[in-house]
Amino acid sequence: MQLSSGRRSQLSRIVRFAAIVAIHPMLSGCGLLHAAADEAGIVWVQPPQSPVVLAGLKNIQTDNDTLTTALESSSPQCAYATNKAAFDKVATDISATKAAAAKFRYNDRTIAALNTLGSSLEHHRAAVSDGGNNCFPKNGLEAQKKAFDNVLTQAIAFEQKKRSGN
Amino acid sequence: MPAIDVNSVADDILNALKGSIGDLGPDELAIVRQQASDIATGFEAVAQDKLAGQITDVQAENEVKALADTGSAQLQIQLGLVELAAKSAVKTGLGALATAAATAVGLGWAGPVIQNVINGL
Repeated sequence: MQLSSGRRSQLSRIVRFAAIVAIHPMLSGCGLLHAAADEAGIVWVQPPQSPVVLAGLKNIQTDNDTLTTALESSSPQCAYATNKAAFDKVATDISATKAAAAKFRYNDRTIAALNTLGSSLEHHRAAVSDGGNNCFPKNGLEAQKKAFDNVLTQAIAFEQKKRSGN
Repeated sequence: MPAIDVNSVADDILNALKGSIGDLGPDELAIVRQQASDIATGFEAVAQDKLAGQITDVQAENEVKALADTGSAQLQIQLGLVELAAKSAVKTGLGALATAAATAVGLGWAGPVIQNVINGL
């Protein structure tokens, strides 16, 4: 079977894309893959931007700020028992945002990051609750808040980069 | 007085992460460098609390787990790494951190704690 030069050229671009995918098995969304997909004429499927997901990410950030401020207060306001509901609120925010993100296909990146963020919150909760009525030290609280904020800031930026369509 | 040299440890973690993730462009490298720095800085805060006797080994372990998770989440959202790859990268970074902690004064507790975190990832 003879292929026209145009078809051969497209075929070679698709082969190049496949090769790049093969040598980057760990990357699901890097620029190199997007560029190769564009070159090969492959439509890169990206979920649309969701105002609900965006609002959810901002809620997580706000409620985590509130939680950290409460944990930084003096005893007994800093105790885990007093702040359990605030931990639960952040966990609920994360679950709700994940559910909103899951309504869109190909939203794996956001969902995966939210899953891992939820795990981080639960480990932080375990550390704080282990202290009983003692206030958790501010160094640890600030480090956790900074790390948490960094993820949320990036997740918000990632969501804002998606095409609007919802 | 800092428990660890954050910049030096961040360099060790960066090299470990680079080895785990593979080829990186300048933008991706900057992201990974930031992650290495965040892990080192976060651990330094945990180490200060532990050295001051304000938290137990178990609390320190949970805080390092929380930091490892946020580090993984960053690699997932910013680089698009899948969960296993992100955790694998963070594991290698934590390995470098454990090695650095092993030679630091007052951080004898940190090696087993970090190893527990690595084993649990």
